[in-house]
Amino acid sequence: MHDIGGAALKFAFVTALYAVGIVLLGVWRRRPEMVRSAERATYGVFGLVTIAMVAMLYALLAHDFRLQYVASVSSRAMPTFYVIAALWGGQEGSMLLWLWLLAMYSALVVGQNRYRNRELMPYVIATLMTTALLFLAMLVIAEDPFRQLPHEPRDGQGLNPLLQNPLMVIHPPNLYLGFVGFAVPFAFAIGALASGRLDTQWIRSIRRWTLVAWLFLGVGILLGGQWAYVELGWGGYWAWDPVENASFMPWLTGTAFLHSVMIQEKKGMLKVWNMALIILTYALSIFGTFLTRSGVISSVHAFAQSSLGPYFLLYLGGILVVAVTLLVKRLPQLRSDHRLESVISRESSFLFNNLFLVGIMFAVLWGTMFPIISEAVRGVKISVAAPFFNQVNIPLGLGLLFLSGICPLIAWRKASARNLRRNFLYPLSLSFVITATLYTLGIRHVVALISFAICWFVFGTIILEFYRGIRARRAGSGGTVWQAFVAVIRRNRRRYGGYIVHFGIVLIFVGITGSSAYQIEKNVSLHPGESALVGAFTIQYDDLTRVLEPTHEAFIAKLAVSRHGKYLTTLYPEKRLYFAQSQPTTEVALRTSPFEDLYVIMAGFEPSKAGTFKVFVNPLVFWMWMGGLVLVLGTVIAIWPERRPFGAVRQHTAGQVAITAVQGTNS
Amino acid sequence: MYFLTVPEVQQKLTTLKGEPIRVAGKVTEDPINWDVRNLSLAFVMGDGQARIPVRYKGVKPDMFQTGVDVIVEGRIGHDGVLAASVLMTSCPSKYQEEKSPTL
Repeated sequence: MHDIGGAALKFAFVTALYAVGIVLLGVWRRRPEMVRSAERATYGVFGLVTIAMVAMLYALLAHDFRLQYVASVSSRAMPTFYVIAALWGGQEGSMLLWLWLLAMYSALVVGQNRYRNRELMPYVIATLMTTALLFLAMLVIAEDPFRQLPHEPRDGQGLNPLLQNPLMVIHPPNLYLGFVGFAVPFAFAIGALASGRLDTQWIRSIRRWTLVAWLFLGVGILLGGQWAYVELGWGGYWAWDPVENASFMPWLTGTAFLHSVMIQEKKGMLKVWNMALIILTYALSIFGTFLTRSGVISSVHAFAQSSLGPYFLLYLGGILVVAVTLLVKRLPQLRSDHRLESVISRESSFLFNNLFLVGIMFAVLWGTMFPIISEAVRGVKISVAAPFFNQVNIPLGLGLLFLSGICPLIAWRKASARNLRRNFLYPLSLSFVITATLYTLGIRHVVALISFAICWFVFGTIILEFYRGIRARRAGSGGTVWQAFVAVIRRNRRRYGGYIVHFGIVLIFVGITGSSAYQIEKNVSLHPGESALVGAFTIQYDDLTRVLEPTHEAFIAKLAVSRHGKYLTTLYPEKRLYFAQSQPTTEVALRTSPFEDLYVIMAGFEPSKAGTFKVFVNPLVFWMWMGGLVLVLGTVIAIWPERRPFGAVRQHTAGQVAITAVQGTNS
Repeated sequence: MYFLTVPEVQQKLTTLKGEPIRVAGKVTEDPINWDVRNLSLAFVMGDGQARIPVRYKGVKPDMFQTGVDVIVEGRIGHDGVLAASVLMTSCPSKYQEEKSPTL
């Protein structure tokens, strides 16, 4: 079976090479049948890589430990669920998954565009297949996933116990779906630049692709944070580690792109900027993959010191040179149709939103790369830690949040005082009243107060928009509030989906603010029967028991939690010792509520059963994960295909309807 | 914050005293002293021939054991001991090939 896998990858390499060659020749010689042949080759690459994936999956499930990869990431005792997940539990396997997703996306794009975007498609195929070639080259030459061991071991080493968590199973594929997904918009941008078809058609074609990639990347980041929170036991979810930053940077520029393309679609402005943004986003996706695989930056994540660095750098350099050259060549054709008329307008608020997002990205990039830069310039390695990132990014992030309340409501071109009053008086009042209340309730943390004030302001603007939409709808066609609510969203999924996404972001900010400004952390050492007070919680240590499981032995503490004398729950923090890896793991005990999380880990215990516990009270974390769900919901609404026909015309009409609706309420 | 290796720290020991530093190295075979009650972990960090004693206040990470790579953040006191407030072990990253390190 593994022979088939290895052979399939080699054939895929040749096929992808053929696709790139024939498609470029086809454009040059103007021979459509050559382009068609390249399209078939793209399907072929997908088929061949799928065979390699199936072969690897089969080897894992059959416990074929002759394969070095299978022996290093799986073992007989592991549950089937994690054996399957071990497919992306190691370096070679995750590269294979990356490649397979890319091949799948490529096949989908080719299928989708059989009769559309014909001028662009040859370049799209060439770009996608070149990327596939990069990964195929690495898998065939440097990191062969089907490499065999001289002797078959009796059992594998197994997946690291810390990775045996459902969140860790779905986190990498999500991240890859995001990273890989940006290859499609990038390929279309290259296609538009190379073919000279620079109207908004290419942007329309990739709108959903971009949203899908952006959604998966965002969800992947959140899942990674949640995994760190529940599994690593240090009480937090984000540490500005290079790996986290690597996934965050393309998300930031991707977010900027999603916003600024709207300006290009509606106003024909920012054309060069959009090209630059999508090139940057894709380059950062590749750069992120490179960072996590080359070992150039020390991180708490042990990066494999692999030989892949040069491949990535070569490819990254190549795409940047090609993309920038094309962009410069097309500059005269990318002039804006309009000019910015006023600073107080929707156009400029989008521009500010972009500047903030890109600003945060550069701050993160600077902080991540600083050890390398300082070593190159001054000969000493200086690293910046979390305080730097927080200092720079908190004001920028809050500014961005504020803009997310302003952008959707402020008028195009030039906002009048009337427009501003109409849209922002109520949300500002709401925010002011609630912030004042919070202040009198004793919230004195300045940054937290500012953050909550902005959150409520943005929430107010979203509510106001929905209220107006629903009122206009009911005035027109009657029905209940709920019916009108659904109809309003249906009518303009993109717009109201966007509001829902913004609401999700507000919730995430609420979670971050609460848990960073008001975290309580306390170490307590207790004998069985003793209790301690942490925040408002009383924690009583009842007993410690030892449990023997097939893969590990566990020491489980029993803690009764009460508040103001009222029993709440019993928590069971654990220490486990996994036999296969002879490694201890700490199992977090967590009680979640909308107000705060009580988070307990057992730091250790003595033979006398005296235990030491680290207890965190993390306020409002719950809302961060809720925000993630809302964000998914909003994005899905925005992506969902609209049933009405008439192609490009429909977006225009939808915009018109919205404008008329707003004007209707205005008069 | 200076990001240094253990030999670099040993070289510039006198000038570094009291400065916030971040140091990367390995946990040596010297005895590890883990005081559960006070959450105090004492060990020796090394790289090649160079050694520095470290005292860390906090929870011992799961991956912490002889031979693993660690990054610590803290200041070197007058006693020459690096008082660390942050101790990070290599994460069991999915990217890492699990070759059990034997030192």
